[in-house]
Parts: sequence; structure tokens; C-alpha cells
Amino acid sequence: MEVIPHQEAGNLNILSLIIRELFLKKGMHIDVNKNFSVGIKAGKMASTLHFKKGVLEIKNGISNEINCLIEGSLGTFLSFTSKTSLLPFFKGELKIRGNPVTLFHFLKIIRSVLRSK
Amino acid sequence: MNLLGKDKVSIAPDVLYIYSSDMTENEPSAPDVVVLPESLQEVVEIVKIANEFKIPLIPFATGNNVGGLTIPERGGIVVDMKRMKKIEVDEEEMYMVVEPGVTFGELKAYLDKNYPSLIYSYPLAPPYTSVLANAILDGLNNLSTRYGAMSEWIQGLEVVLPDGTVAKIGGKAVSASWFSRAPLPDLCGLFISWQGTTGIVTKGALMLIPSLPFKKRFLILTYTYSSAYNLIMKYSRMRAFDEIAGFSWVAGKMFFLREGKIEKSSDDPEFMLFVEMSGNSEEEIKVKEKLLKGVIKNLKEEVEEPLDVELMVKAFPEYSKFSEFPTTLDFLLDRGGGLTWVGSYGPNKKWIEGAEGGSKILEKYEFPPLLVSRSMKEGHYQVLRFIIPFKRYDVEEKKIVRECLKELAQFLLDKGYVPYKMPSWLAPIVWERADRGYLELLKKMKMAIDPSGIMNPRKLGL
Repeated sequence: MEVIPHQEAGNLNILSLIIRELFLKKGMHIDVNKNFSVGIKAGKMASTLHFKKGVLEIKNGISNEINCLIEGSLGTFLSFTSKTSLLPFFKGELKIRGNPVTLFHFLKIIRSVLRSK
Repeated sequence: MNLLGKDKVSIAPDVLYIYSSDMTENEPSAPDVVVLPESLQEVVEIVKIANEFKIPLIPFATGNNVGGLTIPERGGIVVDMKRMKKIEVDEEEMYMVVEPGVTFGELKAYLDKNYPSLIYSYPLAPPYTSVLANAILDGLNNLSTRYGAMSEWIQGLEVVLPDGTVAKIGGKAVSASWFSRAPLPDLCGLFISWQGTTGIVTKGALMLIPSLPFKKRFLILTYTYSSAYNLIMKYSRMRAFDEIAGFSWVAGKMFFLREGKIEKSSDDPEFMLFVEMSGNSEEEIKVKEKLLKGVIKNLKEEVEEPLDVELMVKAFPEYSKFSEFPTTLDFLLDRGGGLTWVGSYGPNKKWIEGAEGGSKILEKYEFPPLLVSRSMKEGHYQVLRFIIPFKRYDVEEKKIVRECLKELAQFLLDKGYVPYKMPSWLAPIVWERADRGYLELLKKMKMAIDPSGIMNPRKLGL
């Protein structure tokens, strides 16, 4: 999967940079054949991840085209990505809005990213 | 050469070149000779010769002071102390005696192996920097939030005066032990922050403290300097935390982006605050964590929830650069090899103005507003250190760096912040504002100790 920033990388907010780094380091070998968009809101920072034709495009802010939105603190988001447990959702620390199927696509990708070395 | 032997003396141009500059904007200037003594006696002999022929002496430990402090501005002899590497620990009295060549990396390895129950305080600096130079230059380390600048860890010094006299200062002047600086008249101050202009420090007795078995470090993102300050002061006064320090947003971005221009996004936090705690039990850590989070509860609009740094390290192992000391923040140097700063200590009440105003000055000169700060001595004063990574061999950029540093220094002085490890170009600017009596005393002390002016000439503008 190719990772490209929607805007100059230097303009990405820290959340977008963290996600970009995660995928650049561990997600390059992953094939994503579905097209969807996920919004992530960690505290005040927000990012949108567009998965399209095997390319991940990252931009600041929440786009209107998102299929689902994950919302929580940066800590909970990182904790979730490092463990990929659904517990933060059940505990209400991470909130989800939108299409749950998209969330599962996203979780699958995150798991692959984290399992790769 | 007759005195020391061939392998301890060099006049080779390539060797002299290495000692002529550092990573800062300060102008290069080569020494005439470099010597590498291995013992106190050899240092004494070198000093006696230099004194007899009035040759400048420049004490050199590792040259990483970020102030051009070991650049030989009038040539002379660089006394490179790197081969003086002894470490002795008195476990019962909790101090160590180190020679100037001991680096933080070596010290940490030594203590971890031989005295794991004791620790020292480590700087935000590479492991190859000198422990003793950091202490006598009043640096700031990761436990400075509790104990203040590093000279506060000094319990005694052994120094070679410009005439070759060797003096032991502190309790050791009378006692067999380096147990404390008190209670005799304290002469350590004659060698602290004097930048090697009064003598060569050959040994330092430095305090060690017990290592506690449990530790945790948190990162708190804040959206304004005023919310950062609010947290810094509240945490400092709780007396529960070992370190309260932080960086402006720039460091967070530079970590992930090694090149290219970086800009602050509208939703980026302004300041990244690191808070470290230690304890004797997990329960103690939990209580401290509760205290930490309790303060945040009322500030949710301006501050993110504390993030366990371990989580960041898990996702990005290199993030340990922000949590394990000593550390190499190489991502700051990736931008052209040059690095300089105006680092200053000053009053709490001017911290916000200082942080905001200094950032604006950096932006005016088109440098990213990179700020490092630390709450010192349980919140009695603060650090404002503005850092400029730059292209080391770009003459034009160096000029701009100098102008920017000058404006920054003036601005910080206006706010009551006083530069530490000041380069010689900055000294006259600082002395212009100094108390006349203080300046007279300073000059008298210098004249009394080094009447020929051979010790690190031009430093401190003396």
C-alpha cells in the first residue's frame, strides 16, 4: 500500500503524522482492495484516512466523505492500535459513528500493520 | 613533547582543525597545539609551562557545550581531558568522584553494572558528553525539576590553578571524604559557570541518589502556553514528580519528519509536556498518576489526557529518545549538522511571555519555533531554551542565525531570563545589564586567580 499525504507532510497535524509514520513503517506491504474513508478524532486533532485503490491518503480534519468516525483521546487511540482490543469501545473510551463494517475493515488493516515487523 | 611523550601531543593540522570549531555559529579558530594528559601531575606540568610562557590554555572535555566555549579564540594549548576517565563511588555516602573525560554513556553503564541502587541525573544530550563539564557549566538534567541546575550536585572539586597549584575544595579540603560542599567557605563557585577561565577542574565529587524501582512517564499535549504554564506550576508545587519538562510542537513534528518545511496545523497542540514520576511501589505510582490526572480534569478544553509514554515507545521504539537519558536527539541535527541555542534560566512569572515572544522571533527569521523548557528546583525557576538547527556550512544562513540569536538573547534578558553557557559574543550584552558591583567583583576574582589571563581567553568577555 502506498501512503501519500493529501497535503504537504509538513502541514499534517501530529495525529496525521503519527498515523502516516505507522503505515509508512509497517503498512507498505499490505494490500487494501476496498475503497473507504475513516475519520479519527483524538482530542482536538482530527485526521481522515482515505483508502482508495491500494493507496492511503491522509489529510487533516474530518472529511465529509467518511464512512465511519472513531473518536477518543490520543492515548486511547494508541492503546487501541497497540492492542487492537475492542475493550476501549465497550468501555466508552473510544466512540464510533457511522458504518460498523468500515470499522471492521479498518481494524483488519490496523491488525496487519501492527503484526508486521 | 619531552614532557608528555609523542602520543599525548599533536600539532598536526588535521588534528588542530578538529578542535577549531564546534556545531554552533561561533567562528572557528585553531589552537597551536593539543595535549592529552592522563594524570593530575601531567595537567600541572602543562599549566606550569603555559604560565611561564604566557600561553593560552583551553580546557576541553568533549566539546559539546553548544556555546563555542572550547574554541581557542587566541590560539594556544587545548588541554583535552578525554583520557582522564576515572570514576570512584562511595556507596555509603552516595557520591562519586569523576574525572573530566567520563561521559554520560560511560557513567550510566558503570553505575548500572556496579551500583544499580544509585543513579545520577542525565541531560537531554548525547551519551558522549562530559559529566563533569555539564556540572561545572550549570547544565540542566532530567532531575533538575527536583534539584535545580547541575552545579547543585557538586560536593567538591579538585582544580589546577593557572600557576599550577592544586586545590581540593569542599569538605574534602579538611576531611578524607567528599561528603559535602558545606560548611567551609564555598570556593566551588569560582569554577562553576566560569567556562574554564579560572583553572582546570580535574575532579568533581558529585551527588548520587537512590534509584527507586518503579517509574512512569507521561506526555501531556497542551494547546496554549498559558495552559502549559498552569500545569507546570501546579505539578511543580505538588512535589510529587521527578521531571516536568517539555518541547514546543516543533520537536514532535521534527521527530516524524526529518526533512522539509514544517508548519503548525490549526489543531496542533502548542506544547508537549513530559512528566516523570518514580516510587517505591506500584501503589505509590498509582497515587501519583491519580494526582497527575486530577489536575487535568478541570482543564479539558486546553489540555489532552496524559498519555503513557510507553505506548508511544511501543508504537515507535525510537520515541524512547524522549524518555531514556542520556539521549541523542539526532533528528534535530539532521537538518544540516549545525545546532545552536539561547538557553536561559529565569523567573516563573515571565515564562509565558518568554515562550510566546521567543517563538515569534524564531518565526520572524523563518526558523521553526523550537523551544525546550523545564521547571527547575521544584518550580523556583524555569528554563527557556530556543534551539536552531541550521546548515553548518552555509555562510549566509549562519549570518541569519547570529542575528536571530542576538535578538532572542536581548528579548530574554528583557524578560529577566539569564543565558547559561553563554558564548563570548553574548557576554558583553549580558554584562551591559549587570550590577556594577558584581562585575567589579567578577573582574577582581579573575585578576586574582589568573593575572596573566591565560585561562580560556575571551570567554565570558573577560
